[in-house]
Amino acid sequence: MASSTHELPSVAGVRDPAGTPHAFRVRLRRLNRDLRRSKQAIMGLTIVGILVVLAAAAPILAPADPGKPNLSESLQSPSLSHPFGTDELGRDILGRIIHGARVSLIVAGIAVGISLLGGVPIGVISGYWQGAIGSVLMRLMDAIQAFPGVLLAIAIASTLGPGITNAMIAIGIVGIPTFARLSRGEVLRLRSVEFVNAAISTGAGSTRVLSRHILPNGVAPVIVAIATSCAGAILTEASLSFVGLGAAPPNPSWGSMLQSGYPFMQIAPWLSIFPGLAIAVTTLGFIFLGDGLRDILDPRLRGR
Amino acid sequence: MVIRRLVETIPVLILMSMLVFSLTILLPGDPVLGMLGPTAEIDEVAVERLRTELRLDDPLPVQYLAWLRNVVQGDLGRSISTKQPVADALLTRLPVTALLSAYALTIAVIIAVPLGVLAAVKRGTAWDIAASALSVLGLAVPGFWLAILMIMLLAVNLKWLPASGYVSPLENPLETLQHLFMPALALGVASAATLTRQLRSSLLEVLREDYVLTARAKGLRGQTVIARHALRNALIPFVTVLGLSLGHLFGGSLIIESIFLVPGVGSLLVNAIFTRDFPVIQAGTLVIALVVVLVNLGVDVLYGFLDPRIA
Repeated sequence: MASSTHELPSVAGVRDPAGTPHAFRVRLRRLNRDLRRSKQAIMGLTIVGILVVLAAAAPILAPADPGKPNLSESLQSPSLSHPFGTDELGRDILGRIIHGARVSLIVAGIAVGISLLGGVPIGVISGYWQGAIGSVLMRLMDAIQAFPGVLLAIAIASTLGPGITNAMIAIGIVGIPTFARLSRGEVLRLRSVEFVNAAISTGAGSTRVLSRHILPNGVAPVIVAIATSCAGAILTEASLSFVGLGAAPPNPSWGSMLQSGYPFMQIAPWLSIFPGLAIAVTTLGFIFLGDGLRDILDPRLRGR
Repeated sequence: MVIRRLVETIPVLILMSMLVFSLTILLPGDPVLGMLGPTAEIDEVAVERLRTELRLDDPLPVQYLAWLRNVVQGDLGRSISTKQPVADALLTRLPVTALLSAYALTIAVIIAVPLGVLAAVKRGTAWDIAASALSVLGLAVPGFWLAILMIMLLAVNLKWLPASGYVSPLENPLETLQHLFMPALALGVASAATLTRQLRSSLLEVLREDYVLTARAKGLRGQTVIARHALRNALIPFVTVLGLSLGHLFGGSLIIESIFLVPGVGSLLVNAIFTRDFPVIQAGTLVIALVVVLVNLGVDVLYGFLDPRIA
């Protein structure tokens, strides 16, 4: 079978707007232009970008070993040498927050990766083939989503035992249904669109239809969901760490910093203020990024 | 419609119970040792008894059915640390969490409705930007951090509110509201933010509808149009989100309750995490999830009354 017929499906003049490499490049260029116009997206990108740089450069920026106690400097209030003060073991809070950014971003990245890799195939299977396996999987997704997210993550993580790996697995599992539902919806929508029908009727196989036509056209909401899921993952990780289920000490995680600073709330409030601020700013960055991307990628919402 | 929705809930409930049951499989090492706690190795009689009780030598489906039979009969196992039946502890603590969640939801609605209406009606103005910024902040700030900040400010420094504790509403309802105010606010802020965003966008959608234009054209005042025509229709999706929020509130109550020492299901669960009390974690998860599903079912039924088009 000649593959050129699929390159430009010509059934009744129906064209896939994203089906050709040229169209894809045009879309990328347009995305770049729109990104610059959305204030929210710029703010989000800036915050997330700064965090990534901080996390990557943590050993250079905060050279002092964040896990090393220095009891002669314990519980110092913010000063020039320790802008965010020190904790009960004399460790620099700013340094620990910068190192904590690594933990948060890595946990969020891997957890959302698990959700994505678990959810998208389930959504595609049930949306494209609509068979029995698909509907059983979707019922399972309903069941997972019936649990409050934090509760299920805590239940899984506390069963597996404390630790950062288990926290990532727990957060990742909880996020699977979001991506499954989203990608199922997109596949269902696109499956009935003219250009996909045209591609199927010219004899394109399911792999080709999925990778060439459905994926490029349905990827936008998934990208938005990745950004918002990162925000959720960071909040959940903080909650898990706060109840002792996340990163184990001396690994600096913002949630566990809040937990260990909690008893010193009255004499050293900075222990409770700065790590929480870090969580809020990071989450804010991902929410802005998600909102901005949604405005750009979903033209129906433009101007809202 | 109500009956169909009821029928649809059954497979979700069954799968949910399977998920909670399968937590047992995730327990590292011997599940019996995991369930009996670190002291189990000494007490071989108890280990053997639990092993036969849980039918651990039987295939998984048989184990699951045996477990499910116990659960349906109200036997949720015994706590490792207190040796008490978990069902009893959950039953006494569930009303507290329910009260806290209802309080939080009330606060969330009181914040969200005016804010959402303001943002939609004054769209694009400074009001809208302020309301939207507040709601994004509400989403980004972790509830438990807000709780800590409030304790520092309102309880420790200003001494306006009690820092922690709980008074039963049967003794002194006013004090209950006072004690639960900070926990409910910390818990409700995220829901308030979600609800504000939801209300704003659904109101904006409704405001474009023809019947709103008609109402305006026939000379109704702006406020009347909003209250009688726009808001009524915009509230329909709002109610769904309200139901979903309750799930978030129950989940969030875990940490909030343990910070404010509120004796609900949440603090019971957090204590169970620290003592590695697996039966309590498993049963608590199941019960909270069950409540959330039933509440959402209730919301869907209510939905039919709110919007005759659906029923």
